[in-house]
Amino acid sequence: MKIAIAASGNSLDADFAPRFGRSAYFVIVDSETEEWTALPNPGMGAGGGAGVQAAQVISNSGAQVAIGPNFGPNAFNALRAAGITMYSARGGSVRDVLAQYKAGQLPEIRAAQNVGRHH
Amino acid sequence: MIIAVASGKGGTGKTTIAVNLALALERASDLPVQVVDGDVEAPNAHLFLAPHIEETQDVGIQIPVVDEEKCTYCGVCAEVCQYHAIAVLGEKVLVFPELCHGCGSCTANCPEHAISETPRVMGTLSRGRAGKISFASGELNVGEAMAVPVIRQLKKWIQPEGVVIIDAPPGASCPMVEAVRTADFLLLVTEPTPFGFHDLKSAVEVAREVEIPFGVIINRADIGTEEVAEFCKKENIPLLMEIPLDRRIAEAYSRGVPMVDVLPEYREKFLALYRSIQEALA
Repeated sequence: MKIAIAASGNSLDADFAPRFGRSAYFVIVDSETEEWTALPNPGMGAGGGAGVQAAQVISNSGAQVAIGPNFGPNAFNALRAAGITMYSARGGSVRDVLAQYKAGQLPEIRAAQNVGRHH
Repeated sequence: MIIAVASGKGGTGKTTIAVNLALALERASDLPVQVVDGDVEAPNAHLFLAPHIEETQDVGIQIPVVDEEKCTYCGVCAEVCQYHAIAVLGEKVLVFPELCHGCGSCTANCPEHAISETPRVMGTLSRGRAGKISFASGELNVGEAMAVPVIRQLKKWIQPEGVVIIDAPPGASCPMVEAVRTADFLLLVTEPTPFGFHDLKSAVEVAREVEIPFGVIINRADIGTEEVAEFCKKENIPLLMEIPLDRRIAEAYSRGVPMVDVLPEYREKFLALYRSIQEALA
C-alpha cells in the first residue's frame, strides 16, 4: 500500500513537514517494499487552496494513506472524498514517521483541524 | 468624475474625507453627489450620512455544480481552476465554494458539458439617499474571504454623472485595487507616522500601477514625523490637504457627526480640495 508523507525535502531522510498543505514534497512510500518517490507539492506557494491541490496530487499518486502533522478542512474533505485515510505524526524524519505508522503508533484523523479562514 | 479615497494603512481617515467632501459639495453646489462605500469588510460611511435605504440586493458569484451522470472524471476542470476550487479525486468531483472566484473556467472547459452554475451569496448591496446625496454601500457576509465580487457588483450602481466618491477598503491588495481601478482620481489618506508612511508607499505603487492620477492627504498632520511630507515633495506627489489632530473633530467623529457640521471652516477646505482635483485633471 502506498503512503504519502508530508516532507520538507525529497528523500526518506528529509524532515517531516510542519504543515501538510504547504509541505515542499510528498514522499510516496510503498509500505511493503519501501520503494519511494518524492513528488513536489505544487501547493507549497499557493495563495489559497493548497490543501485541495495537495490532496489532488496524493490522490493522483495512488496513495491510500496520508500522513501530516494535521489537516485543514479543505485537505481533509478532499482526502476523505478520495477515500484516503489520514494519520497525524509529530516530527522526526520521513523514515521515522513511516516506522511509527508501521508500528501502529499514529492516531487516525477523523475530523478536520485548523478550521480557520483565509483573509 | 469618480474620486476614490484610499490608503495603505487602515484608520487614517478615508471615510472622514469621503463623507466630508461629499457633504461640502452637496451644500455648495447643485452637482449630483454620490457616495459609494466600497469598504465592504467594514462599511461605515452610513454612520455619518444616515441614509434612508431604498433598496437592498444579495450579491455573490456563480459557482459550479457538476452533473456526475455526465462527468467522466477527466480532470480538466481541476486543471484549469487557478484557485483549486474544484478537485477530481478518483471518481469524485469536489467543489470548494469558498475557494471559487466564479470565473467560469471549469464550466467553459468541461468537454462533457457536465458543469452548470448556481449562485452563491457573499454579501449585500444597499442604496438610498442621504439628503441630496445618493448613497450606495456593499457589505461582505461574515466569514467570507473574498471582497472583490461584492465590490465589483457595487460598482455597477455608480452614477457617473456628477461627482462619485468611493470609500475604498484599506490596504493595497485586490479589494482596494478593484475599488479604485476605474476612478478618475485617487486621494490617498495617510498619517505622518512610520506605519502610515510605510503603507502609503504601497498605495502609491498601486496608484502608479493602475495609472490613476493621485494626491495625498495627511490626517492628524501635526503628530509623528516629516517623512510623509518630504516623500511627497521628493516624488512630486501633490499634498492636497493637511488636517491637524483636533479634539473637536475627534469628539464629533465619536458621535458620528461629520466635521463640516461642527467646524464650518472645513467646508471651504473640502471645496478647495475638490478644486485642486479638478485642476490636477485639467
